[in-house]
Amino acid sequence: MTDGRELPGDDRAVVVRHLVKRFGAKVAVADVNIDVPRGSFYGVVGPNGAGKSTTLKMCTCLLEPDHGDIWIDGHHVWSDPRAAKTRFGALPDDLPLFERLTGREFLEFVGVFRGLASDLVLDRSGELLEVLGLSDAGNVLVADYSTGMRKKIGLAAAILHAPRVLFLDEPFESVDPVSARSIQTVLERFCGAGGTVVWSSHVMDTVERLCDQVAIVHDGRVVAAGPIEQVRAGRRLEDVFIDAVGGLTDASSTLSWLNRSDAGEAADGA
Amino acid sequence: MRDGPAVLRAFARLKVRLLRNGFRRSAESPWALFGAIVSMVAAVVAVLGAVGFAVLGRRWLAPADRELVAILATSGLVLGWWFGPLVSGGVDETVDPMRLVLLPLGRRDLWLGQVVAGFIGPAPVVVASWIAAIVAVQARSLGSAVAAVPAALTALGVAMLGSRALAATLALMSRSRRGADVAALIAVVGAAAVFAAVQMARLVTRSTLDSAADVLAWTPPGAAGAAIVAAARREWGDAALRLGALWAFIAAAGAVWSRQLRRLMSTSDRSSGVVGAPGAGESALFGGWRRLLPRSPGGAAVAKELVYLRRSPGRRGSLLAGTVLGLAYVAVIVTQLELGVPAALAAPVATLFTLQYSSNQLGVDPAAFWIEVVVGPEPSARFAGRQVLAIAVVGLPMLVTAGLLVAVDGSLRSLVVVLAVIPPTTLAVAGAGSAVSRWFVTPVPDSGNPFANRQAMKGAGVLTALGATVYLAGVAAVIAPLEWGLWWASDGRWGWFAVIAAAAWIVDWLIWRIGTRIARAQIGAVELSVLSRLDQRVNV
Repeated sequence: MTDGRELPGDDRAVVVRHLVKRFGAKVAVADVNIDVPRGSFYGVVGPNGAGKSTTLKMCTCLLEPDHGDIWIDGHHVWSDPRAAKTRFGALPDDLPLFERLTGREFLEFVGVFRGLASDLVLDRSGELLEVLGLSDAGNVLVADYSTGMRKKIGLAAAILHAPRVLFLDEPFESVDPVSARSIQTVLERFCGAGGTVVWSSHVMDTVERLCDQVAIVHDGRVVAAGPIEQVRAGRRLEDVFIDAVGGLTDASSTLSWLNRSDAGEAADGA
Repeated sequence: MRDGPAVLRAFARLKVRLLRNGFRRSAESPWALFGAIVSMVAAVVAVLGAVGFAVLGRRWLAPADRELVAILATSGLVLGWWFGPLVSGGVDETVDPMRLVLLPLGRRDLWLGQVVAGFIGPAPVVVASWIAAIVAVQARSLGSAVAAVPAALTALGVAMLGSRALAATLALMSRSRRGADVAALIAVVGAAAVFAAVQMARLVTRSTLDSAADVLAWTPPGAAGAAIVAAARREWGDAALRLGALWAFIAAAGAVWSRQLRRLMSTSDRSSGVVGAPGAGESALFGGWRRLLPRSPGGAAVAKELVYLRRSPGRRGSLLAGTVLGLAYVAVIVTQLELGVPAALAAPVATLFTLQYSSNQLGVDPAAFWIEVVVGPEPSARFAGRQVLAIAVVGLPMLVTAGLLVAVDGSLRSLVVVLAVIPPTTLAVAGAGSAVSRWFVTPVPDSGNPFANRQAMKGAGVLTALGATVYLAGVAAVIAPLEWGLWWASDGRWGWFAVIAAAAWIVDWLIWRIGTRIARAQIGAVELSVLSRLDQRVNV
């Protein structure tokens, strides 16, 4: 990792250079380079185990890279994590929350720790809870929240300080359609106001619908990146993705036992 | 971004809010309120006890006794602060760094904030009040009381920093499979030491207490108590020497904590899950000696459980905890009492201390449990796997106990009695445990990670402890008479021995059979709710 030098101001919200992370013998991230334009809705897609979450964790100070540099809004993340954390908000997949706080108290706590004025925290918390459909649950303990509600309160905490960049790891996973729509509304509003969203997913339809930039990650490397129209080149993103990562097995000549009559006979035989 | 005092105030307010919310009703964790009330009542009683000790201690105790109490009590308080959360499953959310990792806090602010939060709550108040009481009882004048204050504050520092260093180290270790085993071992051995000390308390003599105090006075837990005593005696050199050593300990513990905090917040819990692949055409589940198991749902459940016993830190932790806690009890009894009936009785009694682990067969592993619920083999198959763990946890300490008895006793009489009792007792504990486990859903800790124990959030630990007490009494009432009879009969009355042994088998087998049948009858109605109580991430 090079020493923390500031990038000159430019139109990139996130810059990732030569990022590497190993877990024992397994190379999870191998020389990843990403440029995220300001104001973009940037999707990081890839199959399970491709290194998406690991990359996002390294971008958000949750995992120290073995090698490489990350700048967020011009600040080197691992040389000055404190300054970087004021520039971004993050919603990791499995971050523990304060279970014995109510949703409203949780947001207040985050706001106070981020140095926001009390009245500002109250105003913003109220708005976020309302937009995310959590107004009625604001005084309920986080321990009693469903998976979708936990994602939404985590998102509210991530954007409470109006960050420049928002990192989200699989934000729509295990979330019902109504919650997904409210999360999507907040993200679009955030992006429309000049914020940058970087999120990981393996749901191609959602990425295609929301993102204007995309990076396809496979085996810890970026195999394609750029404006989504350019990456798609007139095709469906899913087709481009499958071509890029491969691994599709022809199942037409296998699994013959799934044939209805055969399956029935086998079950009867058992 | 906030700095310094503002962050410390925020931490203090957060901790107070979390404590206050412990008294709120929660649909997800209905027993948390109960746990909070029990904890608060216990804390109030403990503080009143400290006040009583401060007022009456000088009148009741001779000077030598007061000094002995100062060292032993300080040691107990410090060790309790270190290992208490690990034993009770208590979780202080404010000291879990992963809940704060995304906030723009400097390491120093985070460190100091967690210290401030750590000193707020019932447990710190209890410890502080008892240390204050010890100072009050020791002091021979106002001046000597003032002189003892630095030693008292140092004791609090040793307790706090030692606890944080231990907790952070265990949390970090638990991120790898092998480290999780070691972390579980440290937590269990610590718990067993505290447990054994409690058991020893009713057996030791004054001379052994003096010897223990002499040793503890030169260890971090007891040195602060010795420094309080030295300050009260105006032996400044002795007090300064001990305080100097303790400050060095505090500095070292603080450095370890700080280093582990940084590592906790910037490393992942990912570890390799790759295991050896079976050969072509070989069964993965029924490999090795598991090929002897029947290829039935019940056999598959047992095979899965055996694989888990080898690979899962949670399973190994259960086995380890049951074995160590059981053996600690037996070792105390065997070494402190003359051999005879009580020593033989210790064997089944030891098994009862495995209850928290063995009774909860529904709650061993939510992920594996979920598959069984979804696939839905017949109830007997589901229980076959779950009871394997209980039988292993109960049986292993008993077998080791039998060996221990033979080694100490030198005769085979104890061994015969214990071996005659082991199998039926194991059945009884497993069967009764199955029947009651739906009410005591307690996720078995996966490791010694003090931040990962969700049961504390739900107050289930308190409920389980209360339920376990009742359960222990019930099972002991059944087992104890039989073993007394076996011991009596083993003194040459082998005909009677056979009769009583047969009765023990029948009674315990009936307990197992009835308990398991009750559990089977309930399984369809409770599995999903049990699963959701085990793991709130599972949407059911």
